[in-house]
Amino acid sequence: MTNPQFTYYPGQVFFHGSTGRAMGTKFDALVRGLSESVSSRIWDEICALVRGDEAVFDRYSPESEVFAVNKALEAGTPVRLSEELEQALVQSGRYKELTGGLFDITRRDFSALKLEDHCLSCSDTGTELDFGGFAKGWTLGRIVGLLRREGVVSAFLDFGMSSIYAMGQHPAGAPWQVELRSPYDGTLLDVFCLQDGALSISGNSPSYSAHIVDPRSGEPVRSRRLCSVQCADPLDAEVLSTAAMVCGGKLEIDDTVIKSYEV
Amino acid sequence: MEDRREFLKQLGCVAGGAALLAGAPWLSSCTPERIREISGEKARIALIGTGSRGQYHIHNLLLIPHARIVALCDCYEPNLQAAAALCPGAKLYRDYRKLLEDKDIDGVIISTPLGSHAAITLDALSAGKHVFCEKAMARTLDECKAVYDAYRKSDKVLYFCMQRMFDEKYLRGMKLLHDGLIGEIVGMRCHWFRNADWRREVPSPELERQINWRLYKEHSGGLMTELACHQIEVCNLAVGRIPQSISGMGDIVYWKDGREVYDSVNVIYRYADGRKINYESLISNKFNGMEDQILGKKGTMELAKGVYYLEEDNSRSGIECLIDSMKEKVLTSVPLAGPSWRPEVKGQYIPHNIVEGKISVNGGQNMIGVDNDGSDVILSAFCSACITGEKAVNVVEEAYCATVLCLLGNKAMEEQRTILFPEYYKIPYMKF
Repeated sequence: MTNPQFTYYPGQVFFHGSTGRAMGTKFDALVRGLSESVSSRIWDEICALVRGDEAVFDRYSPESEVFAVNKALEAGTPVRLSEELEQALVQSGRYKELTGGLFDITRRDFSALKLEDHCLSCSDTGTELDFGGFAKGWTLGRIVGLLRREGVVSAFLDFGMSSIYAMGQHPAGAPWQVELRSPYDGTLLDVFCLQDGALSISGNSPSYSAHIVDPRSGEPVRSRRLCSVQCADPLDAEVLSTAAMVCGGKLEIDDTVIKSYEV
Repeated sequence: MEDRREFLKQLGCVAGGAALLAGAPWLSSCTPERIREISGEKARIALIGTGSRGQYHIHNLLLIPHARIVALCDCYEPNLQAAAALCPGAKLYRDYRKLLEDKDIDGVIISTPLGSHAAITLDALSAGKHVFCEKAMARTLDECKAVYDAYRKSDKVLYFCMQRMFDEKYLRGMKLLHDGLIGEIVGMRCHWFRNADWRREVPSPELERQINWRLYKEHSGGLMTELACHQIEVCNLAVGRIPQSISGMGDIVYWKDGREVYDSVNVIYRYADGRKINYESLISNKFNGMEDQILGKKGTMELAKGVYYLEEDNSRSGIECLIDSMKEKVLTSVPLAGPSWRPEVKGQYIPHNIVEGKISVNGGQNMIGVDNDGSDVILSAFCSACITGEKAVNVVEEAYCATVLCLLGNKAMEEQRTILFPEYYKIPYMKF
């Protein structure tokens, strides 16, 4: 994480925290109803949480746990997982089942992984863990939990525009509203009303395309498409938006609004 | 073709369109009024040179209501037959001189190797044909002068395919530049990078120079005439001036395969007031793609991408808009959702679109041509002019200036010295 910023607005009783670069993007929090001192403390805790999750999930950082795990898997050596990574791995296995294989953190064959007695091993030495379509939703869920424990009832949390959670209402007394615009030409694609719910967007853009891989074929998804997922849980939204991109938006899950946009 | 139609419909019809037309008078042959005037009429068009670029033009011509392809000519039989398959009923010629004798042809489109542009253009004008020729204008400075002089004396229409002059994002960008959006223009940087050898498959060794003509000086000015020509023209339009001196270095760095033209060029064009075009082209690395970048005191415009950036940008990010709405307690939807934000490489610069709505961006990798880059619009304008006889304002002059500057770039590189623009090749259109 680089240069976290904190600004308190006493007149309107909310704070804005921004992480600078974090988890490959940036994180912004707008949290209402807390005193400045409590806001400051909570923002520090959020930053610590984000830093901690970066240290677990960032597969490009030689200091991260996933980097070390991938090295061990490459060498064919069983590796002990932290409690958080083990939970995330188990959870990601459930998502593979839920999506019928559209989401797979190995991007090829999750079933090659073997988790036994907190140790991970793999029958295929080419397998790597990639929590790219998972970690932001995971961290966002943990931040929502932290804020709820502190009694926060209104907040807007935004991980790089693609993973959003809105708690309660906007100060104007209505659900939070966000627009989705085409990254190619700025065309308005949709307006979402969010209240105690998550929104995740996956897709390709002119500056960042073919980054989602279809685990069934190993091929990158190149279509000029965005998929949005609106549901209660930020991790569900994060994972399902990636899965929706893989299947061209043709995904149906209970209590979840999934849309696809050709751009 | 939808984008082109929408763009053209706006010319003269809406406030912005009229202003655009005033700054780009060469568009007059493709205004809705002009197209209405020639409704039902068809220009009888012949193509001389039916290789890949000629066939690209055929695909565009088939969508132009006021054009009819009546004849095709190529000295290479496979290309002629490929084009014939696209244009059933068109007469076929192997010698362009025979084609020019055909009285049932109004205009010819020349898509042959650069070395033959001047001869065919001059013959076609002499034969009383309207002419549309691929850029660059000609292979040598003297040929350029001969074509320009012939055009001045001719009552025929002459176009060179300077398609950026007909590309909406360039036209609107140019209007914004001239309105001062990015302040005083202080410099220009243009580049065109590819990672390909520029070769085509040759079925028989004796056809090497005919098919791979771009690689040999007899036929080609290399990267300067094939690529830089478009970009130098854009820079000149942006500043309304012609560079006074030229220096540069050219080399064959990677493709040492018997070719004669450089595969790596760096050329600096200097205007009288000290502003410069820094031009670079390389065909053994494509990382930087293609761009025409205009640098202003207050901002930067990237015309190929259709975006601009401001040095001091007061526009608000989505999260800033949301903070404002929270302060005001006024609910507004904010543009916050999208595919994941990535850290910008260039600090805090925010890209702004020159044109709202969908645009076509040419990454510069296709050797033949791309959709909606202005090539279809300029062709439509030419076909319209074949019917009305309306000469193209400034198109020949711009093609002349850009081609001469590219040839002078080659000369500067070959002679390894700074060249001043020669008096002999100056024309009244040029302002230095």
